[in-house]
Amino acid sequence: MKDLLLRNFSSVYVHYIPLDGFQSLGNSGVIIPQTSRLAQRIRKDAERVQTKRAETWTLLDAKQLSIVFDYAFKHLASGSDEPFDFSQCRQQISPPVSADGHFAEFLGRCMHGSVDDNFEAAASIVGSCIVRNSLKLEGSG
Amino acid sequence: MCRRLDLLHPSVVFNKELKETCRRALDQFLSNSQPCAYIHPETGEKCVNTKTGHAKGHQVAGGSFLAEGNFVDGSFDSSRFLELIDSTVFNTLKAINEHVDSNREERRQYAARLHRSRLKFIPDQSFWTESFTAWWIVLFKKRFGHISGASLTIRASVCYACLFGRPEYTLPCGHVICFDCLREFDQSSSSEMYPGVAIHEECVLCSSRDEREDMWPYRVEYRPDLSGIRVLSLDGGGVKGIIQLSIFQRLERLVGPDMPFGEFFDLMVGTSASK
Repeated sequence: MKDLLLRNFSSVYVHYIPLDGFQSLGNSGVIIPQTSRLAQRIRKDAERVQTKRAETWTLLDAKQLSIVFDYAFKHLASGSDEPFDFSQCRQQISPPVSADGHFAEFLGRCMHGSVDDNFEAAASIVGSCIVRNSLKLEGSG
Repeated sequence: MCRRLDLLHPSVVFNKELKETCRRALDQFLSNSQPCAYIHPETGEKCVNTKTGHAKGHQVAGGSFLAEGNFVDGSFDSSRFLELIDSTVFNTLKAINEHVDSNREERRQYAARLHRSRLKFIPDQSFWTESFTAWWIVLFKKRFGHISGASLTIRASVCYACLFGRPEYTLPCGHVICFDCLREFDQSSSSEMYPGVAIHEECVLCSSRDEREDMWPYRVEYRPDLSGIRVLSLDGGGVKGIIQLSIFQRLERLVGPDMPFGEFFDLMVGTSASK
């Protein structure tokens, strides 16, 4: 197994954190360096991702991060075998700010899985909203 | 009068700019929300990836690889969709002009009534209760739905009742509507009608009123049109604040239990005397 992994990777570490005492897994001399190596690895990777996101102007703010954590932990808690849908999550954390984005969000909801059924209704709702908005603007103008 | 007729003309209401907005909205919808139309010829499994998330080819819901290939467009007809919007705008304006006189408020009320009936006639209403239909959400709700605070809320960046307003008022079913919709969809009966009060017997979007019956009707008080903001300022601090509060307490007792003074103010401020 080790040979097989080393064929593709220059070094392989197995990090494990025993849940209840060290038992047969070793002693503190083995576990502590291992935990610190794992912490270092997580910190290094987090910094790498942070730098990459900062360069591309896609760092998450506190609100977005809380939404991501909310979804991620609820996904874990659900016990589902389905992979976490980053695309869906991305849509949730970056709310649209323009009218076209708002329309698209509504259409995405209204026609999710029932395009044929709700096609005409969705169009009539959008049309009706446009009329209501023009009446509102007329009143405020 | 001339201005009203101009504004209520379909070509002005659904103008070039709004048509372009709708076109962009459809593009966004097709790229971000519509799944690929690919179906595996042997297994019959469907690709669930959207156009923006199709980098790994065709995949099923579980994430396993289905087949190589680019996104396959479905049968969504954008031009037909725009035509339907156009005809709805035309028919709505025609109905308003035929049934309502020049009273601006009545026209808005009439348009709101038409809109409510359109919302009621959406054939598949299930989407109102599902934030999105991922399987893990169903599992999560089954396991933890009974725990308060563990619910997956429906996040909306706009009021779904008008698609333009800011979502501000959360109805008992979880849907959020804007201030204008709160007022326009008010269901107060003629005897209950009161300035600054809106009553919703059921959710204007999902028509829900059964789930948490004790929460319906939803009643909200807001600042009436011609009123100002009522502020009570208690200055002085320390014992002076206590004296003022004691006077209020005595006044309340004198006037009677049905007149709590706090309800006459929108904001109460003070130096060590108020919240």
